[in-house]
Amino acid sequence: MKQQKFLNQARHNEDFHNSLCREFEHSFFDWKITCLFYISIHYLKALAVKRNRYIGNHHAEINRNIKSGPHNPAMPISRTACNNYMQLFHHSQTARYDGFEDLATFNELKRDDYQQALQWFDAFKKFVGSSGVAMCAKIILCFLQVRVG
Amino acid sequence: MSVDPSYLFRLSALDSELATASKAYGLQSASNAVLQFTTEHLQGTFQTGFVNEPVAAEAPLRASRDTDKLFMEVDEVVRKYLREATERKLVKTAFVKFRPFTDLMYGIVLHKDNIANRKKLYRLLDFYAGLDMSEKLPVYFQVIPDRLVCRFSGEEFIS
Repeated sequence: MKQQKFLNQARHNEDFHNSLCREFEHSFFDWKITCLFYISIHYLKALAVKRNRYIGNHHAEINRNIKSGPHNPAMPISRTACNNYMQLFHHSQTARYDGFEDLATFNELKRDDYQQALQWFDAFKKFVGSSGVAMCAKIILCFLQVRVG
Repeated sequence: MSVDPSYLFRLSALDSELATASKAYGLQSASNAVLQFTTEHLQGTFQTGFVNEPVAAEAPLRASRDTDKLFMEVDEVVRKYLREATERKLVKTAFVKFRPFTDLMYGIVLHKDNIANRKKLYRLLDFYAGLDMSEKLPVYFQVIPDRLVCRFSGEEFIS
């Protein structure tokens, strides 16, 4: 049931991401990026439960435990999947950086980052799905979205 | 572009120092603490799986240091990395925003901004993100499109 808990959380976050895309198509890219990362981390944790591995609770520990290497990681994943996850991690961290005074510039930066984040997320989600974790409904890709109504 | 192992050694050494000091002084978080300790020359073999080589003997660490100084040491490593990335034509230019006791943010313009080049750029940060220190001393890379770099003319450019 613990896996289900993480999947439910991932679905919850995807619903939130989708509603952000519908309601705020041209803004809040920082929150959209953050959503994509937190969906990913919940899918990663669901995968860890499926594989009966403990990957940790804080980010540094999780980042160590999914990366292949001689440091005896708990659940190394493919280099590509690890890279996609780490890119989402880095960009979600920067999305919450509050040192930019010019919000218009910040929004433009985040819009560019979000375009790339969608690609990393799509690839990471495919990896998790191919690893046997049940996926939820296809995420709305904001930049390909057709307006409803 | 692979990451020079000496950068990884240095970051790992700093991470160990911070962990040691935190345990020695029972600190929950060293972020806002003055770390006081003495240490001997850093010596030994650091096995990374990339290369086995002795860590160069370091000058004795200062009897006391604060978080800003630790940030400065991390900053020094990142600046070297970004200057090297500039020489290798991955990075076009870069600047740093340092917020004392808070974080380090690097704005980076790539010669060619695409997924492959972002992946190369972030290799150092991928390593840093696996260190416990990264949660106490956040370091951010922000890729800046060429068209927007003029909006950051007041920042400290490092390459």
